[in-house]
Amino acid sequence: MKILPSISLIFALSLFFGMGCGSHDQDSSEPFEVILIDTKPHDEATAEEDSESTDSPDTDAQTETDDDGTSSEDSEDNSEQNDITDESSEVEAEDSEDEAETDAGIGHLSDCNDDIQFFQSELWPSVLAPRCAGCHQAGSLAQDSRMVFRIDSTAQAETDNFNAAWVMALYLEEDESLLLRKPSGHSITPHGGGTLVSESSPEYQRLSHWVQRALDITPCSDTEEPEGDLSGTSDPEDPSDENDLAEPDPSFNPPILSELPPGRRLLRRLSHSEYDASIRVILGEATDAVANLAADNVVNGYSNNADALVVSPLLASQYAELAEELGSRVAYHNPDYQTCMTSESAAACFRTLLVDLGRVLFRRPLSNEELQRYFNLWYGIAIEDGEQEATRWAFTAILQSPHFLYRAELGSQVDDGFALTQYEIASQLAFNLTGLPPDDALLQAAGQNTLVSSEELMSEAARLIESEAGKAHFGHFLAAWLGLESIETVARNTALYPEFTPGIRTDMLRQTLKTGATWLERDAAFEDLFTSPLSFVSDDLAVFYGLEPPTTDWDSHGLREILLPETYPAGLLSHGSVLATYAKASASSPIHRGVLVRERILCQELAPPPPNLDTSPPAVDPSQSTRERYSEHASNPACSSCHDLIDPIGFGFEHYDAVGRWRAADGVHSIDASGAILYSPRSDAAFDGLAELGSHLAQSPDVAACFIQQWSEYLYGLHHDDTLEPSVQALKEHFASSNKNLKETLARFIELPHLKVRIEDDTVEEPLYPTNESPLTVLELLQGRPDFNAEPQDNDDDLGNGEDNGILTLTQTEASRWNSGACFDVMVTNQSTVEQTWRVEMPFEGTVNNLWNAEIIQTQGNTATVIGLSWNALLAPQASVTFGYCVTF
Amino acid sequence: MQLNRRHFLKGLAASSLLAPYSKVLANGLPASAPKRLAVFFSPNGTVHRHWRPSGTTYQFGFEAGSILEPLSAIQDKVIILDGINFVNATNHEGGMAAMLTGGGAGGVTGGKSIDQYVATELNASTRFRSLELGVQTSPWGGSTQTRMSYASSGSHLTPDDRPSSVYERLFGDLSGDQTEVNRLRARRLSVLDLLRDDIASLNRRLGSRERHKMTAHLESFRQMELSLAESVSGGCTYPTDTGPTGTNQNENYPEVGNLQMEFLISAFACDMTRVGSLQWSHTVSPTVFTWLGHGEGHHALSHYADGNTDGVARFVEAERWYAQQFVHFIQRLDATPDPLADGSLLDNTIVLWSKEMGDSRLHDCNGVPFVLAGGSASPFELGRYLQLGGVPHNKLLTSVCRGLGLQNNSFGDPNVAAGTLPELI
Repeated sequence: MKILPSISLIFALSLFFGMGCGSHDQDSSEPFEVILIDTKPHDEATAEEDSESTDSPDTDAQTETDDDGTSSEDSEDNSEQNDITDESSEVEAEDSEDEAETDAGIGHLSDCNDDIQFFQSELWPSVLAPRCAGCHQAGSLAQDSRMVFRIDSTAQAETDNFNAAWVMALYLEEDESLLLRKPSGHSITPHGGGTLVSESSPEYQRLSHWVQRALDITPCSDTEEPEGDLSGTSDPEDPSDENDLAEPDPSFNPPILSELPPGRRLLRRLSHSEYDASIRVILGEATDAVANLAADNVVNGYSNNADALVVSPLLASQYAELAEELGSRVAYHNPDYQTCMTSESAAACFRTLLVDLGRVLFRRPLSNEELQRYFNLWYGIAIEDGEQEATRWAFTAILQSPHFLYRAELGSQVDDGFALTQYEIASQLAFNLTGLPPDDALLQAAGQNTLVSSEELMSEAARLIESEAGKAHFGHFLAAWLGLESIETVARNTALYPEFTPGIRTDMLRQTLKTGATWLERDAAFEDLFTSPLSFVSDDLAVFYGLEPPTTDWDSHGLREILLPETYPAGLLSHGSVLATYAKASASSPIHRGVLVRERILCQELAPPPPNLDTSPPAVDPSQSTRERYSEHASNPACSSCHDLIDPIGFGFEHYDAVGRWRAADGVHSIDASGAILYSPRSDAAFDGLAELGSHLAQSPDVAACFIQQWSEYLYGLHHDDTLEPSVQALKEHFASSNKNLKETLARFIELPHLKVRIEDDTVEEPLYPTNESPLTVLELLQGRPDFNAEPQDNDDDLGNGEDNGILTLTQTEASRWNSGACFDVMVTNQSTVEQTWRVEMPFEGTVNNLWNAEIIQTQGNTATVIGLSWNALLAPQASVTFGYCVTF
Repeated sequence: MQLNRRHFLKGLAASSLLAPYSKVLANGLPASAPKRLAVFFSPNGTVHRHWRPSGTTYQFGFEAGSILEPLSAIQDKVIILDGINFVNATNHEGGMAAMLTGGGAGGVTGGKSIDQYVATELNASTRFRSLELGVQTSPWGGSTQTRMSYASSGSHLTPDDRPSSVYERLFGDLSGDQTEVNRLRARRLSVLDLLRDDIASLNRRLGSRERHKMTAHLESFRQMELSLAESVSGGCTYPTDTGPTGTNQNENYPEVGNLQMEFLISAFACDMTRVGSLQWSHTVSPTVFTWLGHGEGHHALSHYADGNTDGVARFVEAERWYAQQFVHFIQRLDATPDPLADGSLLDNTIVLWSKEMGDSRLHDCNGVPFVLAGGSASPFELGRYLQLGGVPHNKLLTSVCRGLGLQNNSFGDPNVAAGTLPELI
């Protein structure tokens, strides 16, 4: 049972909460109610004593006096950094009786093991320690708030922290727990630390789950599994063994991947790089045109987010401009098409091109409806401008079609969901594993329905992972994860760093891309990302780093394999791309680097600095080292609450200057590269220098989970998607208990049902995908035109500036029909402006037993190629010829 | 290059294909003068003591070396607005989101930014309903931090950072033989027709959650069609230089900015749009003003405390540079004839210079510095320094709308503030 809402006291406290630091706007705010549902029968005073500890005057004084470095210097390159905040708005201090009891050593307020386990394995390490404890501890900004944690690692500290969080969950404001309202920015009295968690975040979900437990909405049950990992193995009999938070339970089995629920149906616009890759396939060469497209929305650092990628008027017009240029290249330079035009009719050549390239661009065969639609456009333009111009415009259209610009993951309705089509599965495999559209082999496999069994899927996946593109894709993930592409544009003081040329910047990025690809190729494991000395440098970059250029073979970008010496020891972290991206224009930046580790590698997002906190950076004092200049952060509680999360990690990078070069000294100052990871219980460590930091990160379960989180976001192009979250959690669990081999991890994504099945919570007008059909022939396309019957009479004056088009139209009329046969008249009209020798392909039903005014030169199936006789083979512009035939059935 | 009006109109008239679409400006000037809005953004708040003018409403001046001192050249064409707060918004990101929207999804403006709301309401028959031009707004990609224009709540628009792309969209298909131009337009329209069928067929397969993507795509087509169909005013000039290739290279910032200003002015001068914005970088801007000899990014400079006089001085230098760009923009508008009315473009344009925060060191949105500019037909009394003492910026946005002839009585969240600033209108 739970000790709980024994609700001995429900008291309404009419409190005038003070204003947020320095803000005087809320003096007139209405009083409001806080209802505390107390858990302890004898605790009368829990929230009554208003200590009024901090108030705006203090903060104001602080902002005005601390001129030289109270606090954070915000990142220039990567959004905001932080400073957590002042909870000065909180009026009440922690109850003194509580303290007394705590010190005397009371147990958990709940005796439910589920609650304790959830706290140990989920709430504390993932939310409270990294996000709250920095401010909410003695001596820090929120030391006078209602929730104060202890950060020593004793059993009693854990119990106290459990109780502090439990009590906080019971404070209600408008029927909602303050533990949820405060950090999500919804409280009437603003959270001094600003908005720390969004409602869609996993952190919020954990807090919400905790509140439900505290309010007894989620009852205690031995069989119940709260969301996520319950691998913490606290002995219920002995709550003191809290030090094994991170130890996986050997008896714990992660969920079976193939049994997890799939995500939702999606229509995802191609990212610019996916667009570029698709263009490369049809042109057979690279184009840099895509670099000029309007920048895409970025979500959590990734530019392939399905929800964020939409078409704006600007992008639509840029797509159009690009499509016209690319359409032209197809029409005038596609070799197969050019060859065809020397022997076949223009309509037949266009049809072939449409069928072939359409399949590449739409990543599936065009439906007959689509073939006809594009043929109609082509035909109309061919009459006016000639067939090559027509081909150009038809491809201009295809390249702007939503079927090209969006990847469908929609499927056909089945019993209780949507089964993705074979082609949709092929696209997913290709884009997710290689960043490229499906190649011919994949499209063929889809056409033959051989992407069904897990063996078939695995074997295709393995082929893609092993391909050059598959390996390169992993390098691109690393660059996207750590935000390294901005290395090309980050502003750097050229007077100080003349050697940091555009070439060096590019080589640094290539170093990371190539190293990443090679790690995947050579069966590396996750730990290698932070410990491996394997790398690739150009000769210029080697010299830049102060290394002897290696003597291994060059790759196509002039990179050579190297084992980095101990001055560059920590895998990715010692790549110039990382070190130089995360630095200031004229100096190294422990803050940028610390934030990188905290936010991207530990997945512990930092809040922006609270308003009204003076965030003036340290004054530059040449007599101090970089590290010394930031010392204020540690000594001033207004800064340290947040900067303790950042600076001690960043100091570990101090041997590297603003452009990523190792240095023995910081100017005239010796370097102290010792540091620490704090407030992240499963990762906390003291270290000295980058090598030790790398080793710690490689062993951290937080980093491992974060890596899977980031990789999932990249592979799926979704950010904390509700429907997919269970799958991502399961992948983390599998990863944690695996050998962390990168390829094997990648293969695990393929086991998830998401690849094959989707859900949809809405009715769909057309829930079934059109079935495969054999593509229309030229004749059928010609006859399928909407104005086909009116054609022969339609001698439009507008016709006639095409130079060499080969347009022929056919009109067939049935002359007679009987049980076993029929006869037809066919009129061939030359719609072009030039005389031409006619030749048509047409289908016959039955066997031809009579033919006049023409001859059949070739038969294939029931399609025959028909040409004229000597006297009617040549057809003048706008002239017609008639032939006839009879068939028996 | 000068667009030959006679030639162009003749070309349009000769095109029977375009006849239903083209609205030829054959009968001279419209009955009432056009109304235009230009938004000019520069990032990272300010330091008030170096920004504030001295003096009173009508008798004011700019201290030597202060941020706004360059504005003394156009003092009779501006209103300095001191004491405007964003209510319920703080910090870089919050300020950026609230700046032009007034915050909140509610109210008559429905989360639109003022440029988009005005463009929608004016609904002018121009090739572009609005133009969003930028200078290095996108190296970090699109996000709340890097965007200021909103088509609807939460849906921000991407500015065009590339002068060459702007050139192509505005003038690319206007040069050359008229028959060819018309043929090109006809082709583009028939492509759009086909694409609508493709979208319709795809749309039928979607659930409601994804359908908005097709809706947005169709709206883009509609605007493209508009830009193909609507005529432009002749006799205007436009740059043919499309600037440096490294649009995002720090050192090209001034040149790209200058070209974007010229394109925006040309777009007005050719009556291609009535609403335009120019966004310099974005909040937390990392731009290094190397052309002023700086070695640190703008955002880093914006954070120096007063005690760091050297650091603050460099921030003030950078801010003065933006003031000079603003002055240049106003003077160029003033020097360009209005194609639709007597006088200059500036006479019929409201220009709003906007920032996203107040004191850059405090990350708050109190005392956000605004400047309004205009010319002889301005609805506002110019040449004033208004000390407003902390009014919600919603009132400023509402006032600008009223000045443009719109009737809305609030902007953004109506619970924050309704009505106009009585000092303005």
